[in-house]
Amino acid sequence: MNSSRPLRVVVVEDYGILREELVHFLALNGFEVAGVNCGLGLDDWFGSNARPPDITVLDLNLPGEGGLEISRRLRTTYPEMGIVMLTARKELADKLIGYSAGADVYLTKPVSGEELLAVLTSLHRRLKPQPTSAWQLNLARTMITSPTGLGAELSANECAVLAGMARASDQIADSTELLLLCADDEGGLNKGYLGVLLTRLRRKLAAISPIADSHLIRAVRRKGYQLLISIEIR
Amino acid sequence: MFSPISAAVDSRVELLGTAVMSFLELDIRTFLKLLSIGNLVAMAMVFVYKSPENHANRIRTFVFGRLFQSMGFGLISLRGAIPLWISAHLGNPFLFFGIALEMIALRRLYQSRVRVEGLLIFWVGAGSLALWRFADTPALLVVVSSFVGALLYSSSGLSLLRSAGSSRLKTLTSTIFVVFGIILAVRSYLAQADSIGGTTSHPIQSVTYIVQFSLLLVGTVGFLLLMKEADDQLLLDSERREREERNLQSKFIDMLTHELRAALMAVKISSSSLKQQLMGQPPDVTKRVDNICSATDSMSAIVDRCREIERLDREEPSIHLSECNLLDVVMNLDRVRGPEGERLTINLGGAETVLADRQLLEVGLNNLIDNAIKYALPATPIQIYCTAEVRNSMPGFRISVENQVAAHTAPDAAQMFVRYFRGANAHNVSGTGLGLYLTRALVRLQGGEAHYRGDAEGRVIISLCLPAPSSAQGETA
Repeated sequence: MNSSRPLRVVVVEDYGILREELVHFLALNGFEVAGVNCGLGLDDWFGSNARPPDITVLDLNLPGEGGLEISRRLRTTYPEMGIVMLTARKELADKLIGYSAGADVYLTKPVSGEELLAVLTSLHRRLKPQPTSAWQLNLARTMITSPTGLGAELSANECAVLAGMARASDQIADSTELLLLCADDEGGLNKGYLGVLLTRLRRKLAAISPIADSHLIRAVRRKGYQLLISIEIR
Repeated sequence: MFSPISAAVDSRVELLGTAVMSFLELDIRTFLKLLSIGNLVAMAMVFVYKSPENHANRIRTFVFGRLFQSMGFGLISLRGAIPLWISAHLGNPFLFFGIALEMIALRRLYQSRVRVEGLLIFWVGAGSLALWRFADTPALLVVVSSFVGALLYSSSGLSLLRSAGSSRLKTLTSTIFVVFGIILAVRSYLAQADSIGGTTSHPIQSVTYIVQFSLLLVGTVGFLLLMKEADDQLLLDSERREREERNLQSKFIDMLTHELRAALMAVKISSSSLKQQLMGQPPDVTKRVDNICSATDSMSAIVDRCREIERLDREEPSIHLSECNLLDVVMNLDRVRGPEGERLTINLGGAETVLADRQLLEVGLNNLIDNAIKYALPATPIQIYCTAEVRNSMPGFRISVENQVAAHTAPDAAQMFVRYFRGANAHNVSGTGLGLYLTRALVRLQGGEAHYRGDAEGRVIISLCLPAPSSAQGETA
């Protein structure tokens, strides 16, 4: 667990030993975890806790209200919450019903602790992305933001080229490929145009970069251009 | 008032009446002989009926019934040629007994709740005694025999009507018996009033024997049909029972697998916790946890296999054939990606594609590889390869999994795919003896076949043959 605040998980499982083991295992791995045995127990937990769980691990065969009904209810009330269904039902039809009832992940018993851990961590990463120290490229707003929060407006072609380099293997993109990403508004797409565009881009990035005189984009001989900063595209 | 029209109508009615009476003036003696012969033929017909269910007792009873009736009619037809005590006083009791046996056979066939055997035997006994004691004139003979016949037919008919089941054939037969009982009662009454003897020509005699003859024909065919109907019903009941048992078994397996999976999951999670908590402990301590994990995985695989077998037995698996690239399928198998994957040497070419249900193909191939991993000698390679093969004049591919076992220990080919069969070298490894059986069943469902070849050196090859897409689709088209 990398986040500062522990991930909050509620395990809804009627089989006592399994519930106990799940709670123990998740607590051992740094989760803030509680176990309840049915839908009513879950309602009681919600009643006594102001903040909802980040993820609910839900069995399907439960006494009283079934897991699918609980899932539908939770999905409507807490759309941001992660729901992991953990059940012995392995049929495809059951899985499809599970997903349509709101499951983010459908796991079939028996699943190992390591796999469950990986699923919960991955789901949490998707649901609550942690702030990172990477540069942010917003394609819709054609804007680049540095880790310090400073932003610079980019042209559409600058955006496309920057995104193209960020996506490429080792962030090295071929010049021809980068040119293909550009819109030919000015009627002169060639290596000279790309050189000018990259110079402009370097200047804009350097202006907002936290490290002065840092190399942000470099030419790689016979390969093209390499982006030297990590960028998250949104 | 005399009307010429009504006179003409009266004349026509009289003519019609005369024609009917003339038709009904039958030679009773000939009829009796025909009934005697007819009963023998009927007896033979029923005798040769092969019932899939065990109707032996009913058939025997019916056959004896017809035999006694044949003897009865035969003796009665010889009235005048043989002494009266033989023809009438012995012939009629034979007839009563034969009818009673026929009725008992029918009642047993339909498992009527009303037990009339005792009553019928009583009528036969009482009727025979009455015949011997009181019937000293031809008319009285007819009175007593008809009355006993009426009692026999009507009580049997009513008993059958009250039996379980809603067979129309049974209802029709029972109704005919009751109606014939009434006709015999009328004959008994008229015999006294009109002094009718056994062979006397009289409309009621003709009606009686015509119905009797019809009963001989219809009754025999009816009995056969009733047996067939009873057999069909038994078959339906048996199928229904089997279905119910399967449903019950399926629910039981569902419950069992559900509970076992939950319990296994508890063990797996406990193992994961222990593994973390024992980190830094000597390897012989952590090995215990690894063994718990491996044993849990084996148990989980057995549970899954039992579930698949149960679905197969219920003929439940739905097949969705599609073009499957073998390399893609094999490289994504759990067993290939698992820890033992390094032992596998895979040589499948590139673009070999078969027509199969991907999920079922994966189950089959996982089983084969699992089997090879379990039984191959330690540190020996396991080879997976594919060859083109024409099967039943259709192009296809043979996917083989080859491994090495100890010399002279390769299982017998006849037993390899037998359910629950486990080889002599299987006592050290976990298993059910279901994997290969399941694999062959699944590959056959997809239009393919499974083969096994083992030699004295211990080389074991199990192959799955599946059709190529174009050939199978062409055939379907």
